[in-house]
Amino acid sequence: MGKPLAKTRQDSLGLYLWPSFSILAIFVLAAWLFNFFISFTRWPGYGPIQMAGLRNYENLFSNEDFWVSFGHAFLFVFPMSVIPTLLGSVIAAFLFETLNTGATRHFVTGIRNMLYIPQIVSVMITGLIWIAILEPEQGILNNYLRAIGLDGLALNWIGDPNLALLSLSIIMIWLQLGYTVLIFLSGLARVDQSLTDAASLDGANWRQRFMYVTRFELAPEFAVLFLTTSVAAIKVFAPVYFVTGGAPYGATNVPTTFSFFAFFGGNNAGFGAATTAILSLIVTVLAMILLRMQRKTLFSEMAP
Amino acid sequence: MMKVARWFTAIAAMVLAIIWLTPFGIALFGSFKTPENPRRKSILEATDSWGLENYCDFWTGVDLPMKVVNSIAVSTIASVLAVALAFPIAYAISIGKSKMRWLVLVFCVFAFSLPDESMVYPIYVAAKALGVYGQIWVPGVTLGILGSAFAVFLFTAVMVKVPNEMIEAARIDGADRNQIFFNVITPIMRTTILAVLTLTFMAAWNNYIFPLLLLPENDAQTIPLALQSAATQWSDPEHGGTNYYYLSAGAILSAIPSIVFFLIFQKSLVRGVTIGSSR
Repeated sequence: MGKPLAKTRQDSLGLYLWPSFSILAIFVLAAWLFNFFISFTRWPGYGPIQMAGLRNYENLFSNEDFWVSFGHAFLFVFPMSVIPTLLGSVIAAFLFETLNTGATRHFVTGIRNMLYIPQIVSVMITGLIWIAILEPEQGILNNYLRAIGLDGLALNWIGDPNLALLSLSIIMIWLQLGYTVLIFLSGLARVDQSLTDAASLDGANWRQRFMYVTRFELAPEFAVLFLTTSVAAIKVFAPVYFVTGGAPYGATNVPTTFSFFAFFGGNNAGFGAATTAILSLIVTVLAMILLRMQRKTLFSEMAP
Repeated sequence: MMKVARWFTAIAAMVLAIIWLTPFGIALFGSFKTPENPRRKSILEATDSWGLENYCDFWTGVDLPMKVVNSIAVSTIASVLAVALAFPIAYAISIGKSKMRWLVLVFCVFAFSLPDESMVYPIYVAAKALGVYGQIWVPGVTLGILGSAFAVFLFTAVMVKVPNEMIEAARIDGADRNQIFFNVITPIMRTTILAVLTLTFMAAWNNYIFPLLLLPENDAQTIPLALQSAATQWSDPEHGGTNYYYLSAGAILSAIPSIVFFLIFQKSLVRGVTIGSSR
């Protein structure tokens, strides 16, 4: 609005900003920078610290397991981000269009909540249940397969490197779908239905309405979800740590577990810190892309 | 035609939701079984003996009430601190016109995107050096400060939409910046504050790495950690495998607080989750 209003926003409100923000900024920067410092040392995690220059980084880059763990982090972008986002958009659009009216609206909310439960229970808990299902000797899945005579299919779901990656992927889709459905349902409630209705009157079938109308109306949700869940995938820890623990022999490691085991299992703090330092830089780049995209929409009100 | 589509979607959605809850169903089913030799069987194996034994064993075995108190303590400290830190920051950068506001916001996005693992080792080392290692407030305060970065992001997203006219009107009525903060902004942000509180409470409740590394004492563990210790203790492949009946009861008991919390605060939580993506 006009000029006089700008005056009310002149206050810098420094007293509200600085005390809180200093605590946050100092805490985060101190921890993060100290992690960089550790990454330049040779240190078992206790006792005297020895400077090591770039040795940890040299060792990392020549360590095959390090590259494999980063490869997994990027692989998990599919089950953590791409698949749940695409699947979630279709499920949400279907639910919204056919059932989100009148009495069945509560039905949609109920379905949404049931899909969302994996998001709200700790992965320590759900990971344990998944182990009880997938464990090769005592697991339910293999017991059933043997019971119906399919002994050949009773495989080592969490012990064989390739199968373990598949199992983890399924668990990740299970974990993430509720989140994307929830975001898309709230997005659909926001968008104007008149375009979809018009397309419908023009004889567009469901697929056409989704591909030519809904998909574009949900563009902001797609962007936010792809980026936030990709960041989550690249720094994933819990499902891998609790279900396979990086086993067998680190074949399912991701950067965070690789680092964790180096720090606590291998008594090699510098090595572990170097891994998360690199990871944090990658994640930061992604986050800045996210912010750049958000700037146009979410924070347009803030632009000077 | 429309009716058929509705029924089809409804049934497909039900099937999907049931598949999604199956793991919990399996755990629930298995948790009531009390077979003779539990360590060699899968939890769906046929058995005649049923009961609440596994629940009682887990309840007393891990001293669950104490773990609930610990979890509540960590999550309450974290969520209250996150909101207390973030709300004034958001006020300053969305209502005020500080030149720093973009920098503050960029820093907050940077801070909440950082993997916990890239900060946890220094915090672990510092807690040991300062002699506070193992004290229950340490992960609470850590999660609170780290959580405040995301809270700033959420509060700002809502607060920038407060119309200028509202603040201008208050100003004309003679309100200074403190009165605007307490009497104008805080009341209209009430639902958002509740949403952010529930979201950060839940995030702290389910966090594993900070309690795992900062609370070594059994008595100070949070609920998920207690379950993990039980799992480590009760899985013994060399002596005939894991007692999944017992652990299922543990998983169900450990999941109940989260599910109850979700059902109670569903509206707030969903609001909190969707703030970041809605326009």
